[in-house]
Amino acid sequence: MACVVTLCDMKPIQSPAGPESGESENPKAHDPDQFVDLYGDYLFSYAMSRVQNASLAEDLVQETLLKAIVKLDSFRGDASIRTWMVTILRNEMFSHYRKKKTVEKHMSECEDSSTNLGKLLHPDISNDDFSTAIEREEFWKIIQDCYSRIPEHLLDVFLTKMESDGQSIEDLSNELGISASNFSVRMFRTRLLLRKCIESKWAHAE
Amino acid sequence: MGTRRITTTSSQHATGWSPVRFLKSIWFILTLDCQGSAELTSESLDRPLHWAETLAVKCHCMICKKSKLLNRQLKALDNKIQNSLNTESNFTLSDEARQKIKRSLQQQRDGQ
Repeated sequence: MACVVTLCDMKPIQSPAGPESGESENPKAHDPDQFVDLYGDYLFSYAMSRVQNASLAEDLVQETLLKAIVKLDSFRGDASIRTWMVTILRNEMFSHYRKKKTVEKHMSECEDSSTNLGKLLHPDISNDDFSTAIEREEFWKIIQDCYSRIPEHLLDVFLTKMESDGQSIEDLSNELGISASNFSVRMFRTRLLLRKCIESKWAHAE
Repeated sequence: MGTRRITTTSSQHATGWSPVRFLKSIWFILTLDCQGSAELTSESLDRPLHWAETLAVKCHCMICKKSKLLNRQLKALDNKIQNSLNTESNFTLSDEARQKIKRSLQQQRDGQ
């Protein structure tokens, strides 16, 4: 997860509130209560753009701030406080996906088909149906379920790429500590698994 | 699973034309299978493809409807997620949520 720090530095989300860069911030100088006012909205925006669920995003922000306060003494100041908090938030998101994975025992299609590449390569729904599936309101709920079914080492690479805003594979793979070829393979597998997962959810909804 | 590529380094793009390289490209175009087509489509979302790779995918999709379908769906899904993550969002915590979080932080401090 070390990559996250660098990536967030490179593409900050516009913050509606809170310090713009946070580089000069000394978190230990703040009353922890101020964390909510300083970073709450930024973290909430970040979480919302990923989970698209206000209640879940609030819970994630709460957990993030609680962890940040507990770990405040371990903050070394290598990155900005905001970047450090985003790292914690991302870990919380992955933790959320892992919890969902253990709760949902009936994850059948995606997991099974991940071992059978042939199934993943052959869509069972038309482009029109697929377009409808990804334009539905429930899409973001579905994609969260699908994320929870993707192995973490794949999902981390995928989300990092999605957030990177045009960075080259070489740069991203260096930051992630993997080869460019491995990066491409992970992106490929994740895309196939996500597509298949959405397809199977669409089929069940029909 | 190995990623199919006609070039492995950018320096190879820079080298000039040669009959052997050209024949290799033609062979690559003619022999691309469904998995190779899907892999290259995925890569095309992350990097510009070599002309032979682009042509190979197009030729394969002309004869394979399933691959054509898959490639379009992979691109659509990628666009959808990427647009969402890179759209500036200005969500703010509600007052109720803000107070709830402050209370929980306070409780944690009291408990320490």
